[in-house]
Amino acid sequence: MSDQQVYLAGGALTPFGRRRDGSTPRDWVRQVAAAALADACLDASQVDSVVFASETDFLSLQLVPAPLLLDELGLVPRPAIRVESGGASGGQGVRVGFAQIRAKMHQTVLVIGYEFAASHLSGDDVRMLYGLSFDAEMEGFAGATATALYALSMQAYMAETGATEVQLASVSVKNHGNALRNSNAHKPMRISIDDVLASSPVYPPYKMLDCSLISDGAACVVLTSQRSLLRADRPGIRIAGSGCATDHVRLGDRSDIGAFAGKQRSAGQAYAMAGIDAPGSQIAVAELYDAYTGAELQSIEALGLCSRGQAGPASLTGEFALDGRLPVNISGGLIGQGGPPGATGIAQVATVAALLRGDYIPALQPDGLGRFGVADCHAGVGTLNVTHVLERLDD
Amino acid sequence: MTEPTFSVNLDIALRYAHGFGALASYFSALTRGEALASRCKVCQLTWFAPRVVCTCRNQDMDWHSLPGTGELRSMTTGRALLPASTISGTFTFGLVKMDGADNHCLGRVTPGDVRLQPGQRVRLVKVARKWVHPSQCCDFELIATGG
Repeated sequence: MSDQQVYLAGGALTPFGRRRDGSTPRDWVRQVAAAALADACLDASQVDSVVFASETDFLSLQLVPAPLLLDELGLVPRPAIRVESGGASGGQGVRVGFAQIRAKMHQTVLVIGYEFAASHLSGDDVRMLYGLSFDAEMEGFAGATATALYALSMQAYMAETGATEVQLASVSVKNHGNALRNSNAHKPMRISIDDVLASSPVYPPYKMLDCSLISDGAACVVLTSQRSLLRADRPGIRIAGSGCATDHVRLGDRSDIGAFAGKQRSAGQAYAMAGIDAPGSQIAVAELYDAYTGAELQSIEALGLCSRGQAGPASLTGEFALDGRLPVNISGGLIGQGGPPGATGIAQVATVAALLRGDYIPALQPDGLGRFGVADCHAGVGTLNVTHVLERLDD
Repeated sequence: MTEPTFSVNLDIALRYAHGFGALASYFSALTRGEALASRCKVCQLTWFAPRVVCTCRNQDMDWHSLPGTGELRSMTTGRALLPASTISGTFTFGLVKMDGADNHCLGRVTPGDVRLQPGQRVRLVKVARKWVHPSQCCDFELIATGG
């Protein structure tokens, strides 16, 4: 018996940023679901199941959000589930929808992610809450923030590979620059490497312009087992592989503090399912979880898109730029487009699908991309990783 | 429907009766400035910060006192607000390999007048200042060298 195929019928995202217009995730979820269904040319009545992804109810002030949001979509009595995996919540939502279809529980699944993270609370409160998303008892209550922990991992990486702050800065320049042409982006900026190096230190080696922003926003994709439901006027997209793997939560318990070993395992699973054996040459485009500039380099290497210690030099020479060998974070990534944790992994999948089809934002759409793209996100410092391989169906 | 912008400020205070379960001995020792590690009865790996389950999957662990000294492996400095408190400031967080432990722990390091560098010797100290969670007692100071 052949495996049930999972296709991506449509996707949409709201602008990412600081929503100070009085709107809430309840509004964004309705908007983004309607937009994704419109993109797929499907009707809500064709949806069998809904997966919601968000990181924390401390931010939204809505516990048990799934039934409420489902009700507001007019989809009672469909089944609903809420998925939480920190920064990987959106990717995990896609994986749950993928699994529901793969298991033949449902034919068409709406996966919706959101986060109310940027404008609902003060910056100190948001940083404190996210500090509790690592090992709260051992490290979060001691005051360690996400930036401090990522910085310690990056210092280990830099010590081992010789990566430089200039190489890190090149990621910031690229991702902020890509965001200039993305109207959904939170932080479009035309900056130089010197600007990044001169920005205020946060936790060395990270400076202000090395860090991504926590954003408000939502994203949605429509998954289906029915190839006949895909629009005939554009290439079909298949989710060819899905992986999820973990590493020890505390950096101090890892054998290699500077490497994302869990991501390497997650990618290995997704690649094996997709039949990818040479990701560096077979993957044409990638949307990665650049919570910090260095995390993009660590992710590129963990995903096998270049060898250990080579991502920094390759970034500096433009290999991952829009017109480079393997464009990474064309959307601007978390650094440029922004990062609402529950929505990010879903937006990544929608973005890679559009890029492979050739109908992404025209100013950011490379010509002649290959068949495969990868979307990858994580919680913690590369702790819980979710990887998806998307394939354009050219037949 | 087009809605006018309308919002209010909400202040929510929560009080938790917070316990420490299998880590109670570790945290209690920290408040006294003592380093209590967990040691696996099967593979003898010693963990500080402690693990309640060893990476070899054994759950039968002993508590084991460490001398409280170690080596600073990496550090970074920035601003933080300590959770459940109003204490904020600039703190240095470091990964420390404690003597007798097989992993690293995260703690705060007091630089003093010396520029911090990987490889420097440090010791766990008893915290005299106010703390609200015992993890805020994982503080290290440099061990003076030379002279």
